[in-house]
Amino acid sequence: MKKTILLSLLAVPAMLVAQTGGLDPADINKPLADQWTSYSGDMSGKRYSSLKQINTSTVKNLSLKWLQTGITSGCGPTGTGPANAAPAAGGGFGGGGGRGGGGGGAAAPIIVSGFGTGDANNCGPARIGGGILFVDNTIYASAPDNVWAIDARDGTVLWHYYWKSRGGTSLQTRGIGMWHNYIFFELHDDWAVCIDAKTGKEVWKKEISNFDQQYFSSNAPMVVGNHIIIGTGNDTDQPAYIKSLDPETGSEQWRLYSTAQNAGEPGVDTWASLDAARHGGGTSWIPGSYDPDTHLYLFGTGNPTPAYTGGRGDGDNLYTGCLLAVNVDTGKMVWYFGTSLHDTHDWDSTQTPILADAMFGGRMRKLVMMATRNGYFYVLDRVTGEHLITSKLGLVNNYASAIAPDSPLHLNKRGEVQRNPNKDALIAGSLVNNDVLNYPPATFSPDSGLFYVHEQNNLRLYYLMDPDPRGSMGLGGTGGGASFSWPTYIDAIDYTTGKIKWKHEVSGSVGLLSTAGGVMFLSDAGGLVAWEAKTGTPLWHTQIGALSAPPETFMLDGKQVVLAATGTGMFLFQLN
Amino acid sequence: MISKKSLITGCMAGLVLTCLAIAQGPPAGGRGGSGAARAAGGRGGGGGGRAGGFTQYTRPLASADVIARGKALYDSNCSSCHATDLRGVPGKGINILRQTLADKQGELVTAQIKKHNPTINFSDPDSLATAEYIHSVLARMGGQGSPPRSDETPELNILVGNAKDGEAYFAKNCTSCHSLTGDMKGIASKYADARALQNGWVGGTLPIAGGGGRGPGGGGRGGGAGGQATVTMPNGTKFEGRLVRKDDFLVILTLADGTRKVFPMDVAGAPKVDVVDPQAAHKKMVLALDDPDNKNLHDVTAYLWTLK
Repeated sequence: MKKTILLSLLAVPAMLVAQTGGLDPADINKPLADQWTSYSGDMSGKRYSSLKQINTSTVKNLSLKWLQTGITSGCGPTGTGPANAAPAAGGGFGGGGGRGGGGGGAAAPIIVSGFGTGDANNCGPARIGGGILFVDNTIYASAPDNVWAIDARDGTVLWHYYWKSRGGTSLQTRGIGMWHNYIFFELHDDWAVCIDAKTGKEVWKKEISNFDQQYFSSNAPMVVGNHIIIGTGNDTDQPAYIKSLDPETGSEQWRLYSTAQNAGEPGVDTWASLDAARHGGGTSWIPGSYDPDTHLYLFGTGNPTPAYTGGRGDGDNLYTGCLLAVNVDTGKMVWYFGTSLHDTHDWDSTQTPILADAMFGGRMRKLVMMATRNGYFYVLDRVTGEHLITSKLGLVNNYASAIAPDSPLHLNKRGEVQRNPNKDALIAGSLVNNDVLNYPPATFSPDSGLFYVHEQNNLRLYYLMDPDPRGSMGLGGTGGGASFSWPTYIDAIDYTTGKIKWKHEVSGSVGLLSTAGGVMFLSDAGGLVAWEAKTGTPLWHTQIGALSAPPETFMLDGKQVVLAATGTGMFLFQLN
Repeated sequence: MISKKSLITGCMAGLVLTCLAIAQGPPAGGRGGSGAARAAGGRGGGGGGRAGGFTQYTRPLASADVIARGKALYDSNCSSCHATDLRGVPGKGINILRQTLADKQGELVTAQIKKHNPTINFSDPDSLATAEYIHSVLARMGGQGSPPRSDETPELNILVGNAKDGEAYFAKNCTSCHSLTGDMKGIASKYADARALQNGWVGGTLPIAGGGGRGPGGGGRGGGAGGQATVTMPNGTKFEGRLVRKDDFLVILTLADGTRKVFPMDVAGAPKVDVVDPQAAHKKMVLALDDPDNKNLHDVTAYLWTLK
């Protein structure tokens, strides 16, 4: 009898064994503090840490705890180099293993998967991007087609998961998700994988979209209870969707398309035809945020397709360029708000929304805030979608209203921005602003009441090169001309008014972090920089090279630390 | 000996790969890297070239004669509804480019042809040759989903402005810096086309034959590394040179004699830094030029195009 039971247990696939330990999904919804458990640190999207050890007084005492320069992306059949490559001295390309820059110890195991040959992968210093997780003293980091577990105590690589890609669009990743002892990751050639957090071994993998139809998948899986929410991008104009997977099996729980796929579905009347809607784009390639009280997952959708040309009709092209609130249990949309309706400039509205309970209009409200690529800042009631504020960002943002920053806004009754069609790409050229911001995540500090986001300023001539009334495909049919750039800033926006309280010039942005210590961390001046969050006054910096992922903070052995990744390595800073 | 009937039966039974090898002959040579580079940045990372790209750009193509046969079949049997550029004719036929992306060895194209209404009397080799032609068109798609460039590029007239109004605008706003008998003399003749002229005069760049020219870009922090800057110390001492770096912590100049001079900025008594933006005049110009209808832009271009 005992033998029978044992055999039965052995016969049960590992993935069906109920998961315990590791990261409790309930902890993912807790405010950001000791651990970093999802893309934004917590599910509110604030990127605001309640840690205070590092504050405006102590930040100057930060120093390097360790530097790991041995994290390398894999290539070839085994991840250690191209096929037939001569072994390089000192271990060659292989998946790290060094520690503290000093080497020693056995190389980390490389777990190889994927359906390519490895020829499409590129060896070299890892381009770590997106959300880096920190759970149980282990750092989980990713670059396209690669995931690493790293000991947070000394930077030692513990394991390296390497995916042999079939190719496709593959330059960046938004990171990984975690549920108990499982790590989830999207591969650019359109598979989702579940990896054992302890060993790096693959638990399951599921195809999430069709590589042959030029989908690419770089989003960070978001764990909401027993849902793994993933998104996928597309280079042409195939239907766009997010879907929810079962964490233990990868089976699909629900799927939500960004546009109508069948006659009679909501939004179809905002397109030239059902076919235009089906191929209307609106991909989701940046994670959203989650409100556990309402069970709403809030996320943004990308630009419509064709991006620049005709063929979509004159309507709003719903639900592209929108903020969507989705019931995570049903996968049904509860409300939407158009952040870039009928977009004609490839301005994805996929930026991560920020959820906060804060005073507005004299009472506490459940808010959602978002700054989108078209250069507008929005505040809504996240329960109902009620519009509260729309304001304009940028020095030369003229696509919807006059170029002056304080010019009257052009909004519909819902508070949604209405573009000026004369600022679309025109055959004769139009003088119009470029992206005001993009995917680098914003942060919100409840202490300062400020929403921080980068602001780019560029004017250029846009030309329509494909006037065919059928419209082009994807991003086709346009051409650029003369352009002018003004400085890039970090804007500090008063969420109660939408007005910019101050702005501070920077070289660019990969994303921001604010803390209860009154500090904001960012990439600038060739490295990691700390500002006073309230004023933008520089407090500390270290020239480690421009960051490749937003900075993060968490607690390690009772000390608050700051994690930064660049193109050359991973750095962990602690207070002296 | 394999009979013709057996070959067809085999194809229909799913031995498509074998049949294709027979139909195609040797591959037509290398692929990948022939397309335009993808636009940089953006969604999901964007960017990346053809190497390691999607299936449509990396698979071997059929021989030229197979593709030519497929094109002839397509042109005579399909293009009236699906268009010569394969993007479909509204109300008559779907976009073939979109619908065949996932076709690997002709299986989707063949299946569609078999069930097509009205009937298309293609043999399986005909269908496969047509599929190979479609593959060859898919391989020429541009970055991030752009359809292949048509051989029949329409003439795009950008001269929509009022030249007389443009002349008045130019006289009022431009002649303090530019002269029609000096730097702007015969300006239109220096550009290949009106679009290049427009890019040139707006961007303040030199004429670029064949056109398109972008503005000098520039900008960046502090008005643009690479421009000139003057650093004034608290005691009044001035340093002038080419700006290498400017941020909250360091300003670096290359002085006239080639010396590198570094100025810490996060110290007491930090110097004052004045950056000369070489684009300042044209930035001021484009801000004033902008209007909701692009009228000033189009008018001035229409006027300048008369200055041959």
